[in-house]
Amino acid sequence: MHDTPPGRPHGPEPDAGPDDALVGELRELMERAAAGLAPLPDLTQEAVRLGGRRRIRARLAVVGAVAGVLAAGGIGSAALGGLGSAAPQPVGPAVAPPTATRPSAVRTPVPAPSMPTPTSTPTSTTSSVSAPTGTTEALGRAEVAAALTVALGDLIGTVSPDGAGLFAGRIDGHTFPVTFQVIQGADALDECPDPPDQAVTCRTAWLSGRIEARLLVAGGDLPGDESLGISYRYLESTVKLTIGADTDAGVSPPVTADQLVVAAGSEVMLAAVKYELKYAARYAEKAEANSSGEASDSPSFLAPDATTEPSTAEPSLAGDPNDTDSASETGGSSR
Amino acid sequence: MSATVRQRDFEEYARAGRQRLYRTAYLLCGDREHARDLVQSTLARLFQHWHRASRADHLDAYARTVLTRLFLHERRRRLRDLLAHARPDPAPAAPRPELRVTLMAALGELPPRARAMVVLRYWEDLSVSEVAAQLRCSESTVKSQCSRSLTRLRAELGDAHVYTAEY
Repeated sequence: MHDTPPGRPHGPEPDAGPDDALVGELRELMERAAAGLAPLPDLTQEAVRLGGRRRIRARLAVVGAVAGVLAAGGIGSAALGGLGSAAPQPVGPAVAPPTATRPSAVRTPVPAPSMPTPTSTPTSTTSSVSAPTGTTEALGRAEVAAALTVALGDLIGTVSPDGAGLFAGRIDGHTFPVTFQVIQGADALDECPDPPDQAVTCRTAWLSGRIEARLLVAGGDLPGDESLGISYRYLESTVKLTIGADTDAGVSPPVTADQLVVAAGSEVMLAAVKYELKYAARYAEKAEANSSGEASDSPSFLAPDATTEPSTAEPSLAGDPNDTDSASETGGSSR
Repeated sequence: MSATVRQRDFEEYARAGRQRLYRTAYLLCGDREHARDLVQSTLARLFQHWHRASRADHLDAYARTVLTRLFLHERRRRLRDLLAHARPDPAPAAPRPELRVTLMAALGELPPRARAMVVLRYWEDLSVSEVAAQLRCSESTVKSQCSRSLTRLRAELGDAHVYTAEY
């Protein structure tokens, strides 16, 4: 008898029917064939090495993929750094602690939509720019997180910034990594792979019945390793939203593909995308004007902007009705 | 539980269970080297996810599920490679007595999924519903596939009982 877990005793099976004899014979043959195998050498240490490496790779995969997309996108208009951090540079500064020596000229201290800009901007000074920049970035990321919380309807709990360019939803002791990206200038929506990748299912979905999207579900081979992602074109940009599993606990996110479609197409998420794009455009104009005009060596060109042009420094979701709704939802849930 | 303790637990389990996994892997693969690789990959996956694997109600069943799915995944990958490129790796003949050759040849004639069903059903003694759950298909699919597989095996094995008697 082979050393398998305790199961039913060998013998005729209810569904075996006339094959009883053959089944018995087959079992006998399999047992004899397997019993004749030489002992397997100890593979444990190698398994530990390989498994440990796989574990690290899996944890880095999300960050790496995000960084890769940002690098490829160039413009880096990713909401990973928060709604107020759409600068054309990597996401690093978005999470680094603000310092006076940081080259913050490329960062825009744009207040988050919910910030009381009229009172805050006049007080900005060159020496204090860095701190507000960090603050606004943090607030911007909080706004994104709040938008995600609202859009996902608390399926993964409250979403909050979680490390470099990432977010996480936390519920019932589980942590589900979330990424949200807005990439300007991408040409077209990627097609689903054909033939399909073994580990990924991909299908087309429609957000609000009008925006074409690609919906991907990865994993699922093992309990609790499923993750979901959706990408769609919106306002000349590609938006990507992913939700991963709690790999430590082995729990897949409690979000169905259909729920992700609804979340991605919700007004609050579309408003967040709009806001991000609006902000990125204004930033680009300012950056261009700054480089051709002043070429200032000052620690930041942002202070003058913040003090003299408060209107451009406060891109607000209040610009259109949809955004207004979104702003109130977002702001309300984040505070 | 500390990482050291977790690793020790894993090593203990791996050492105790590797031969059992190896046997199942061999029946699935029909080749010792592939079976060894499959066990290696399975153990690596188990260690990767040991945090939750160790909390499974039935760790052996968990490991078997990983093994089976890795086997099927590997076969599908090889099939894709075959379709995309050229010849597949010819399955090396088992350098063993007639019994093993006959059985493995007969099992090797079955498609990977059907073969997995046979091994799980008749070697691992899983119920139809357990096989269906493990392979993520319906119970009726398991029943019909097993029935068809038995018919094919009967034709392939022919007088296998002779080998059984002589082995």
